[in-house]
Amino acid sequence: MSDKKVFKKTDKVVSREIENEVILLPLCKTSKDMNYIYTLNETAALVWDLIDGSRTFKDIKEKIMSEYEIEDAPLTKELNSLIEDLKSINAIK
Amino acid sequence: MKCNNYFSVAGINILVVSSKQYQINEKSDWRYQNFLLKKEPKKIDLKIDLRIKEDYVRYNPEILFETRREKVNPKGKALCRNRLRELRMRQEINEQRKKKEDYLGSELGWRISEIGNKYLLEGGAAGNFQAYFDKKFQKIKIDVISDKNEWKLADVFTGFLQLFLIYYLSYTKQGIVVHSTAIKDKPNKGKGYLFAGVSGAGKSTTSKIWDKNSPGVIILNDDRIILRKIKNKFYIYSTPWHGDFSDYLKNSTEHASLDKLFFIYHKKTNKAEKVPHREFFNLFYQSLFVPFWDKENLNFVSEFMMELMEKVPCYKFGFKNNKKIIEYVRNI
Repeated sequence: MSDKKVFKKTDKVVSREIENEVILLPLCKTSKDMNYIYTLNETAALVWDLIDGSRTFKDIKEKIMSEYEIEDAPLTKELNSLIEDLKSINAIK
Repeated sequence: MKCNNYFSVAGINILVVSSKQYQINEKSDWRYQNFLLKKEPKKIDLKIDLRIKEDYVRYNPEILFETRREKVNPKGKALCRNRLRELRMRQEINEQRKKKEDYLGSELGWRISEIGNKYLLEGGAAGNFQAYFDKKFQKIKIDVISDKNEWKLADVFTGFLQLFLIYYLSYTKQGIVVHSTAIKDKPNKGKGYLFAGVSGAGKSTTSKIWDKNSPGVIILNDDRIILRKIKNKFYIYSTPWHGDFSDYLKNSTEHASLDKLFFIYHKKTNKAEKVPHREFFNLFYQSLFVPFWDKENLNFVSEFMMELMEKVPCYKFGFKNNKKIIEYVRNI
């Protein structure tokens, strides 16, 4: 993932914060997708919060590193994986 | 000539205006009888114009949401049910079915689309109808497709109304439809208990246990419950759409306040534990029938759920199939 890449939340998902976690309810078009929800843990919820259409991948990474003791390489890997997951449910683009 | 037919489901009064009276179907109509009103209610919430048409108007609309028939499970209950359905359907092969399949295909359950500034609700396996409504629910029309120039209560209740109310309730911020069974415990101050669960979790079993072992208790439904919020309190309402158990429907159009909510599953012993807030959405959302395709409505649903979990005690409830659950539930 390019460090300069910027992500934006779509209008295809409804989010709710519960006890430091975030619940995502994706909109769906067929019965096979309905009733699925996704839970973001505290760190993923922070990433979700930071995705605002202006922060870059690098900005988000640096913010996480300032709040949690984590090395660049494993964080990049985790962040890539989370971004791909959020893209796959059309929550971000 | 116009016929006015009055129904009431979950406290929502409905007027269906038709050009002729509905045909009585003794095999299926008993389940709707309690939801028919004998006289005009003081207030009408929904007015629906019903027409009978010979064929579908064919659209190529922008589909918002559709359901399709599940594939057949090669073993067990699903196969038995499906075979029965297939047999029934084979007997009903006629021009009408051909028309429907020609337009909507054979796999469609139902679908909702947008045409211009209206919504179009169409039944596949869910019924022979096309219904149109605007976003303020001021003009609602249903075309029942019939070769015989007749309509039956099932045409309105089974297919159309069950689906329409999912949208109407959330759009008007009145409530949601829950895949659940519910009990009004009349001998115990009329308290209301909702037992939510996916297919096979034990909803009909729970209804049967209470029905058989607790005189005076009212089963509101064993499969679909309408959950409404009125003046900041939650209420559970009976519906005509039952599951495997239906004896209770002869006398049930009641409602109750919602005092306890259970997420049920089968277990060797009875055990209930409080649901942490962070687990509530995971457990409850899978039991809901809501407009999954509409952001504004899903926003309402999520707000409704947040309030529900704050105000009503919720439990995960593993239960054993015997009458001890009655006292267990009352004493929690």
